Amino acid sequence: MGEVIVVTSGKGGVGKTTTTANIGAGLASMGKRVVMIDADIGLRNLDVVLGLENRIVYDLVDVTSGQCRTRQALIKDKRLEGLYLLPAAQTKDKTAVNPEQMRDLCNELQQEFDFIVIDCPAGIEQGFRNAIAGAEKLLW
Amino acid sequence: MVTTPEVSAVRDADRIIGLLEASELREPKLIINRIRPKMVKYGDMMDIDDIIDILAVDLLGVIPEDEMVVVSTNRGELVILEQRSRSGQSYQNIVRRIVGEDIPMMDLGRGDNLVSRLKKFVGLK
Repeated sequence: MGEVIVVTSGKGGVGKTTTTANIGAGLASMGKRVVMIDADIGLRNLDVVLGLENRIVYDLVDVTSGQCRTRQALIKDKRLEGLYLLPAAQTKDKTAVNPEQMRDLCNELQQEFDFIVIDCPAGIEQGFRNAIAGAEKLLW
Repeated sequence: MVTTPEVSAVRDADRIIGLLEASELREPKLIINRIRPKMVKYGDMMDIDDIIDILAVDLLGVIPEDEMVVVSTNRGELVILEQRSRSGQSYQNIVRRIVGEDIPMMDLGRGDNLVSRLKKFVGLK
């Protein structure tokens, strides 16, 4: 069973996305299988920080709404073996996903990955509740 | 839990920790980002012990302010893959702690006044 790590802060601009990207890459460079989820729907950024913005075909909302299979939306990192990104949707908002869908998605990804690192949006509204829904007892 | 040594960020972090507890998510681990050891040394920035005292959570790591982060972010690169970057080294230590290795904390951003320097000198600290 993979471990879920949620990177959160409340305030924006303190380095959640940078931290998510570096922790994800660090774990992958140790040989772990890692998927990073950008939960900041509408204001995605993790793809740019990772230099993967040109490879996005499907996104988180496509997955949770059943428009595509989870596998199809995962973008493989170009540098590190075993590192994947599930990008956020850019043209939707936080209400496009609910906590139960996030929980199901994390359960599914936990079967295949050692670590799921979730980049939480700033604030305490639904985006935050979605992001923490997949975490059970372990939270970093 | 990521925060920076600013009162606004620390206050928000405190609120989030409360919300996490309400969701039965206990024991978050803290990362203090963008610390400037020199400013801490001169008392112009909150030091890591102040922040840990306020938030009362375990520290996972401290990342120093580093221009390399701006450069690598703009290029879609990652500091953790740059051997010589200080912030990358700090992220590396955090990752090793996550997988359970016992890595000592770097002495970044701890208050360093005359008394603590003297204590260090005579071996009390």
